[in-house]
Amino acid sequence: MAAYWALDVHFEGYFLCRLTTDPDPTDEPRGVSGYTLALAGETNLDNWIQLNPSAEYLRQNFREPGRSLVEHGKINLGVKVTGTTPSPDLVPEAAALVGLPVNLLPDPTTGTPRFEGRNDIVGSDDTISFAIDPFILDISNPDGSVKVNRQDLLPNGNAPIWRLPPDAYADRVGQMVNSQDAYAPGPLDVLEAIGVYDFYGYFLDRSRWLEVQIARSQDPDEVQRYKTRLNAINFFGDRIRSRLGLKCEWSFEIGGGSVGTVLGLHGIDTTSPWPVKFWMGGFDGDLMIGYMRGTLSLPMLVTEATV
Amino acid sequence: MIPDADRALAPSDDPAFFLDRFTNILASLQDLVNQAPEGVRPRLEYIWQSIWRTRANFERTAAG
Repeated sequence: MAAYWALDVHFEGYFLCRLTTDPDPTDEPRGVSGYTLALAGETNLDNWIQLNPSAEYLRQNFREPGRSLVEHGKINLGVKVTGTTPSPDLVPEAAALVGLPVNLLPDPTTGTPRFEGRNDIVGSDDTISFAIDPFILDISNPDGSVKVNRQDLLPNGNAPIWRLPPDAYADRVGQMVNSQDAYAPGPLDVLEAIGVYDFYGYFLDRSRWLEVQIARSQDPDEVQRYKTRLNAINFFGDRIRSRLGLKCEWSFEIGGGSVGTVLGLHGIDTTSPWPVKFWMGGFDGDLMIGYMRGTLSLPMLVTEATV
Repeated sequence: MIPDADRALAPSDDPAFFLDRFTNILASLQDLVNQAPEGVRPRLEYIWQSIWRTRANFERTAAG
């Protein structure tokens, strides 16, 4: 007999977030003074944390060489379930979770999930401490036969976060994690995840790639887009480079009075809070993608299982 | 436009002085929100929310 209290669901992958950056107002649609910009032909900056963006969204907003890197398997764009603890060997139903997309869903009232900062009014740009709001975690397969879904509700009837005092959502706020190694440009797990150890070289390569595209292209609009990106990389320099080493960690319990939905897995407690722990970071401010890795713990109603 | 009460530019250490002015700004902004065309209103509402939150943050800080 093996005893276990929870099914831990591990997930990771690249996400896309076309976020506004300080000192732009957080609802600035195109990007004016921060290092992120919406280029001609791209939709407005929306701050939407998309763990698995749609093909249509990517077609309009995901820049090269990002698309080519995905096509060649060099970037695993999309946050997916990578495994469980106990493994599917011990909990066969858990096998259905592996490989499924992990998403943060929009809320009909609050809108799309975003890092809530509002220029230091709700979060802190200085310490990069933001709550993700709304927070509706969803793991589903296309036919709906497997589903794990739950929203973390805020106090006062899930009041808008800007109306709540900071103490009311303190547990939801992520904290920046510094590198343990003073000589490393960022925490090692972030560097390993994105496979980048030389930030200067990474963006030097990007700048060279952009220069080659500028020389090759016959389309004046395309040339201008490349030039704008090149200028942003050169102008913001270390600020944009350093974000590759960014690591922000969240650890809280999904609940707040909500009840989870679970299909295709038996014995999951849908009323007790669901602990979730994850980090987001390794942000490429030119492609506007970052890396996410974490674990969702689903408490079990049954604490013992036959091996 | 500077309201008559503020023309003297007198310094104050009374939190109520600032809270009153935040309240006035919110009232003025609400008027603008009510009149704004559809395309502009969401951004004005966002500004209204941010000022409301700034006022609340200030009030909490002033209360110690």
